[in-house]
Amino acid sequence: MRVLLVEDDSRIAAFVAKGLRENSYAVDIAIDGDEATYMASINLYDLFVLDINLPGKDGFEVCCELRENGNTKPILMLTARDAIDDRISGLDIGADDYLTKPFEFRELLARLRALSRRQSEFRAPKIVIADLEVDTISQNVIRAGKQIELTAKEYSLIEFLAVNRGRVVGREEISEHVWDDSFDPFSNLIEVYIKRLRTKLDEDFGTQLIHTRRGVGYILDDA
Amino acid sequence: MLDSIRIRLTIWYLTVLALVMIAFAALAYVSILRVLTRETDNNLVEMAENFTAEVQSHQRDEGETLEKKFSDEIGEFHFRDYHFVVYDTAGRRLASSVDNDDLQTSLDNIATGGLVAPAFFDLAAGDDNLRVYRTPLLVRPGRYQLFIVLSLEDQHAISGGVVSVFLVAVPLALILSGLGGYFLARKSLFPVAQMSSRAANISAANLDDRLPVNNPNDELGRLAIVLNALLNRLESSFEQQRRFMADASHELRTPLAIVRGESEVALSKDSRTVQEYQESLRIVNDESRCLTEIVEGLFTLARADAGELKANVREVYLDELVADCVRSIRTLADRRNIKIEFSSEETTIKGDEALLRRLLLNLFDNAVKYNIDGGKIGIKLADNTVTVSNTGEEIGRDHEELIFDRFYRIEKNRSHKHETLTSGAGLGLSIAKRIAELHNAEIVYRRSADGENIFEISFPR
Repeated sequence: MRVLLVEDDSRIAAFVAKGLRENSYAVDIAIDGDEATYMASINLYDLFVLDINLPGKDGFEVCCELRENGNTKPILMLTARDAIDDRISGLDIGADDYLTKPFEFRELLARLRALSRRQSEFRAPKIVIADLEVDTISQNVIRAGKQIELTAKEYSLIEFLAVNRGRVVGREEISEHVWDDSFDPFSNLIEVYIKRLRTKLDEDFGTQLIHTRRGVGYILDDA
Repeated sequence: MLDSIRIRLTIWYLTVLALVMIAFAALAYVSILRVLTRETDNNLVEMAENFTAEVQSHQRDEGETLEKKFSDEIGEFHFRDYHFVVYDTAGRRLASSVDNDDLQTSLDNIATGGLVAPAFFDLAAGDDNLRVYRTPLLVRPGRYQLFIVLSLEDQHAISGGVVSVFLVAVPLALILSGLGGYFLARKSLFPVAQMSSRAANISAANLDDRLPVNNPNDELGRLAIVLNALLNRLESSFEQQRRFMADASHELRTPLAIVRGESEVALSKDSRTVQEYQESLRIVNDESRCLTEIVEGLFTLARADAGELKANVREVYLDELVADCVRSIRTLADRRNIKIEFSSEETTIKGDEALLRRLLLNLFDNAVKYNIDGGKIGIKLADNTVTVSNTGEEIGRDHEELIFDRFYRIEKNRSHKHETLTSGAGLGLSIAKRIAELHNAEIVYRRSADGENIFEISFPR
């Protein structure tokens, strides 16, 4: 899951990004409205976390612009203002959810999960493929009843494959959704992570679930 | 019902009008009576002159008695309302055309008084009121008394007619003008009704609504204008209050969000490196300090608002205090390569040293905070006035009015960029202003011609 965090206050951006990254999100930070719309135009984000008080273009305008440009990804507004009018206008111009500062970080995570589930075909918080279970809430991965220890990035990758189960996802798509702006497109990082996942998930179990489609990408499927 | 101004106005108007009309009617009545009486008297005199001339012109025939002569003359002067009686000087009646015995008796009694100068008097005989003219009558060779009696019936008919006209006309006029007055009062008070119904609908939700001004030049129009100006002031202080609430919530929520979020994220993993924990704790610590400063700032302002912030007034060496505060900010300024030009003259004022220090630090701190790197700050103390200039960006006309407002910041995020001495919550100038007010000092902002922001605090001498 790749998130664009739009927040001008560096102190808030720092802990939100840190917390999200530790929960397997790829996070880019934009510090004002113009940067946010620019970044949204060059990258494919799965979620937006948008502060309302921004220098220059404010959060409402950014939200409007995203929707006008045909972006349908979930937008969660984050603000220190809790006036009802703000909430209503935020939701009316296309935001999907609203969270007031200060907030419980777990609540932010839960809301982001709920928002991303709404986008995916798999609405259940737990995705099951053959004997593989991916629990998107606890971020636990279980194969044949055995818990698999994964790093945040590894989980993020397997979750992305699981959400897109049965569909071939390309390298570019993976880098867009699992890695943030710092991803070097010429590195073989994706291959490295796929290899690690195979070692942890496929090797000791009979059937192979992660398949390579040469020249196209990868697919998670039980056949 | 008497509570209505409309009704009261009408009643007052009617009362005054009634008094005026009654006085007028009475005066008119008296005047008419006097005119009528004078007319009557003139007629009587004329009649007497004619009679005298007639009597004198006819010489008495031989053997004719005086009585006979007078009776004949009276017979010739036979008018319906006039009666003539002639007496000699002893009061002996010589001739008379009076047909009323009572009247005759009264006249006989009066005539015994002898010859007098011409005079008028009123006499009542039965139910008839009479006017009598008594005058000497000279007929050679003797002197006599002549009484001419005129019935006042006609005169009474006229004056009675006048009275009855008044009795009808006055109440009628009062009724008509009462109605007119009522409608006039209603019409002229209509804007009041309009204003009160509009005012009744104005509340916090539609404080931008205004009262109708029908005619800005009349009293009610001016009242409406004055009330609208009051509404303007209310609206702007309401707006200020609302902005304060929104800003206060923002300023308090942000550090709270950081404290909670940072600690929650730090605790969400079972183990982290010492450096990670230290970094989180440092952030939490910074933000708690920031919160403390905001709360203290608000508390100071609240106490000042409640009139509880009492200045501990004594002699303060302002030049030393300013120099001290300049030293405090020098480190911050040096770090960003900002030059401070400082000059002062010996000045003592009455004030609270701690509060004044806070005022000066807030201003100096802003001068550093909103300056450009490598900029310049001028601090000058002369003529009981501290002038602080900085080479920061122009504040702009839109903001000039608002910079002393609580939590007001031109750019919401600007103050986080640089390290500061005092709270960066946007309370600095509000606090400075309140402290200045406590010292009866005036604090003003202006942009100088050579592009510097200048804050001036003038202390009273």
